[in-house]
Amino acid sequence: MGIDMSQVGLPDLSVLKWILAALPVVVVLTLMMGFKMSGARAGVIAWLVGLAVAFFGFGGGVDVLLSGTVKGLWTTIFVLFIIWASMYMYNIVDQTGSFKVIAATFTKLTNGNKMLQLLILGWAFPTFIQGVCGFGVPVAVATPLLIGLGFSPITAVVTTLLGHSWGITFGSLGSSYSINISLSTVDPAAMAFWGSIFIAFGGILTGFFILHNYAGFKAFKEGFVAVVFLSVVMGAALIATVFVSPNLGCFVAGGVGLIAGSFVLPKFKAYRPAADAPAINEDPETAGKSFVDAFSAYLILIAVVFSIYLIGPVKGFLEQSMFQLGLPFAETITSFGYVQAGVEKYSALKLFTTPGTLIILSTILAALYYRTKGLLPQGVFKTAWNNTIKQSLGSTATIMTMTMMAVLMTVSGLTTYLAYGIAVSTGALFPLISPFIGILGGFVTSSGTSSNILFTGLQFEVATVLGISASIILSAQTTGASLSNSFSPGNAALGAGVSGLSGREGEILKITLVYNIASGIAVGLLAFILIKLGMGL
Amino acid sequence: MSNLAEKRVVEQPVQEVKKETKPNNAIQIKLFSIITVWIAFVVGYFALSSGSETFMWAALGLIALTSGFLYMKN
Repeated sequence: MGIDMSQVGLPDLSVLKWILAALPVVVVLTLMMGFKMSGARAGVIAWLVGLAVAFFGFGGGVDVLLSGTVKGLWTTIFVLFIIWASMYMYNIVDQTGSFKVIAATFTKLTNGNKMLQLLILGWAFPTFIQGVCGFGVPVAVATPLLIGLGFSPITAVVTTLLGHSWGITFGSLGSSYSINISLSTVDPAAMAFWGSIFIAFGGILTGFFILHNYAGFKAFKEGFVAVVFLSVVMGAALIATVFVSPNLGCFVAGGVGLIAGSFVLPKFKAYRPAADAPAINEDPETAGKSFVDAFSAYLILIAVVFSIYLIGPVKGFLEQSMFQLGLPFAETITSFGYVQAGVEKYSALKLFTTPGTLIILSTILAALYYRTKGLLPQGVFKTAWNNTIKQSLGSTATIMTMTMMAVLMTVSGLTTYLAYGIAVSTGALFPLISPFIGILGGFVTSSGTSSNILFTGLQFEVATVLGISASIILSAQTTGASLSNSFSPGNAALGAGVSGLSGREGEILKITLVYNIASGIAVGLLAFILIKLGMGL
Repeated sequence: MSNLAEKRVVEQPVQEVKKETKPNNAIQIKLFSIITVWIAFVVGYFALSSGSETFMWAALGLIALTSGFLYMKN
């Protein structure tokens, strides 16, 4: 399969150039995972390496280098707003003592079974939030809840990173999935069908990864039934919903999973307390306190998000162009001809519907509610702010440097070159590699949607050239892109920030890398087998 | 008077103040290092808009410099 690289404005494919293009990613992974360097430091070095590679190897002039860097920094504002807002909300809720009440309620509801708590709050709940909001909010909201329930920060953050990831494609009201449709000529019905099958398969993997991360393979004995039950329930709900409306797939799946996990699963024989089990002692500190009051901040957040995102006219009004803040950027072009089109509003911040704004609004409403209930201690706002600054600085620095590197790679064509190299060298084995391209895109952009934006065209083109099912290949792409959200430095930094693990992003990535390789292999095999069986054509 | 002044000096909890300000200083410096990168971002954006190559190189250098500061403080 010969591809004329000058058509895409990139140098001819060669192993040396491919290694050069991969260098920033290799550097960042080596420094973070091998040398346990903080994300912020690794990001700075990788960005410098990226500058050198783009300049000397890919014909990026100073405008390309600066444009990639400045665009990268601008992109972080969106993520940083979420982190700072959700950390502030968490610290306010924490000051009211609500996490103890939430923990006590779920302990009772799940008969004190930690594994069920982990699966409900670390898998179904983030999926539910991902259905509407996404953009890292599920991780920011669910991680502190798990820590409040007594899970270690590292278990909590890896769980929520994995738990929300499978929902990306049909989450955020289908924004990621819609890219597959809009950037290719694939049949939407076939794409929805195969996409939902692949994502449901990814959901099963996610459940077992969460179990494994919790207590290794021995957790399978106790958690097998729960994971199978929840993946069947959520997967079936997703497939059925996508058949009617792809945009609501993740939202319905998460909601069904949350209800089934909280009220049906604990009644299973395997999860009922033994007849002679001692009764769960109620903490006198939480006795008699209302769960609804304690959970109110998050209930308010869900209500605010749903009422804005699900009511079309409200969302449409609030997302008018005049309420969007974005910087204009001129077109850039490398000496090889790799073009980044000029834009009027790059990565526009939708001021009234961006998750950060919704979290701030919910925090204000929650604080008012807590005040009426007499739960708000004196000086709460100042204490919460001071804690937020301390907790968020590390992840802020990491996200800034990582995104500078990632967007620079995109703007100078390094990411696209990497993907073409993989596609061309694999040939008939391409379906096995297809999800890894999605994972690569997710890793460098920290976004499943951006990965689809980057690689939908490429995957579709290669599938067409090879004469294999484009809908299956694009399903493998979007599943890899989805699941890679657990393995992106930006999301790891976000998770580290909200769990007090700033500087330990490498440790998080080291764990999720293994799960991403495993899921890439499994999804690739599924795509390979289905294509060998002649399906999807 | 001099005795009173000495007493006051002795009474001042100099040691404790130092202990309290150290972590705050570290946080403030971290915060400052982040702010400097954002200042460089603004300069970088204006350099891009200007279209002047010299200005762009200078801005890229400034971002590299502030990123180096960020590297040292994080």
